[in-house]
Amino acid sequence: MHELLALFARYHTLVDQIGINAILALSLSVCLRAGQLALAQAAFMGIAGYVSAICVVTFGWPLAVAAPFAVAVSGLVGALLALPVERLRGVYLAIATIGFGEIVRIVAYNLQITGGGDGLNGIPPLLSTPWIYATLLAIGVILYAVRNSRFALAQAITREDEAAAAGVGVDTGRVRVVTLACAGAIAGCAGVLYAFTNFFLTPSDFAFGRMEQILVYCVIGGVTSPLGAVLGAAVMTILPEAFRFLQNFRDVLSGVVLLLVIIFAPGGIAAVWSGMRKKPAAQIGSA
Amino acid sequence: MALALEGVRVRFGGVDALAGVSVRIEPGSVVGLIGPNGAGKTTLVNATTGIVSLAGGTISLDDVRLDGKRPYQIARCGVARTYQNIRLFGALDVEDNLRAGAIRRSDLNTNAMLPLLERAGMRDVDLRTPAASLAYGDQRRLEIARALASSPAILMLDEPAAGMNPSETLALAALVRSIADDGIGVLLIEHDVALVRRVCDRVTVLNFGTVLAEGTPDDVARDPAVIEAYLGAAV
Repeated sequence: MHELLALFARYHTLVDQIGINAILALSLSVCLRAGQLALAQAAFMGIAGYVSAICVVTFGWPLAVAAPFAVAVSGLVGALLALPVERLRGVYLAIATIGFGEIVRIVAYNLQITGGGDGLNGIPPLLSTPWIYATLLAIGVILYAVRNSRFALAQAITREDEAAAAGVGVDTGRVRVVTLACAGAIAGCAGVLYAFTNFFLTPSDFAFGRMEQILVYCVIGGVTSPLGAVLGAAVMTILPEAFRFLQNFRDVLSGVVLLLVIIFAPGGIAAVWSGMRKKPAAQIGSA
Repeated sequence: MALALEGVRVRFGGVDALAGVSVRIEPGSVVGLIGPNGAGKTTLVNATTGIVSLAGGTISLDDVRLDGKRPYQIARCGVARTYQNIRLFGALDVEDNLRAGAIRRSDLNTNAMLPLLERAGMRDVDLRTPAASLAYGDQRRLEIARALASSPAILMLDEPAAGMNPSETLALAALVRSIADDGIGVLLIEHDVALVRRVCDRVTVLNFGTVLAEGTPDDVARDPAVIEAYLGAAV
């Protein structure tokens, strides 16, 4: 037990990163489940991070009020973002939402209240690892509980064929709005956790590079599998740390893993796992 | 509920795809819609289901105006359809496709799905089979079952017999008749004139976006304009 605690003390920052990245990956997974390549998770994270930190540091709100408020704001921004991009699909939606992320970053960079390019300092460390994993667990449980709901089905058929989904009575526009609102709220949770475990925020924390990482987590894990997204986030957060001895070349490893997954396991870790579980039954049948 | 299209006009650029078409589908009846390729048959279904906008005319389901509504709103009013090119949710399994058809209902459980599939002519089907891996004929039947799962008032079938062999077409004819016998109004677009004559109560012939003839299958088959423009010879 003592060794375990020592290990945690040494790697607790990495453990926290894994949890926060897993929440961000779940946020994107929610969008991909509805077929929306909406790449605004880093922006949602930044909005909630700044809103919660400003409410606590500048206005003296208690975190218990500021955190849900910030999550609600990022969810609302997600819903509002869905309206102007309603007719965009695929790569066009991706570009528009990346553009939105850049707007958020530049606004944060130029506002006084966010600390501009220097960032917002002095955020009290009110949250820690248990909060991160309790939040991850809660989001995971909610997503698991609704996996067979009508809304989950509406998301799946909207992803498969939007016109046919409308043909069976699904308001696909509403599905897209609710999906982006949920994604915004989930990424907002990550933003609050990030802000109150890292002491300071800068606009570059939420730049395109982070969004790119979140997308990679989902591709590695499996684009529509929440569990895969979590695993992808864990693998791709640990990997650069495990290969620190490669020094400046360690990020190359992430690219190599991404290429290997796309070529040999396009369904990601989730599809490989699913295939392994089915294999014994197939062998029995063929015997 | 009766579906009434009155003077429906649809324009694509400068072309009148439908130029004042009127069709009425009574509950429990099967109306055939035939015509050469490009006559406007699928456009008429697309206009009814809100996929294309009207340039004129009205579409009503009893007293409810459908024109101007969005596709999902029209589906919720009770108009279901199948597609000329099959549009199942391919990555989802058979069960989820049926659940999707019944997404506005709460009473379609697994026990109710098997009779629905059997009715559509699908026996011994594993509900867990992905729709995309079904045989072509079964995909057509599943699409009909998915439409029926919504308990529609009007069912629009766009070339449901395409790719089916004669025995499958016979079974389809029996299915279409039984659907109508349940009080559902059916619009059947079909190139198989024998099937149309077998199951339809009335037939509308379209040509260049206008109604060339309308009446019972026998009346239409005897119509000189139809024989000249479409059938080529008496059937």
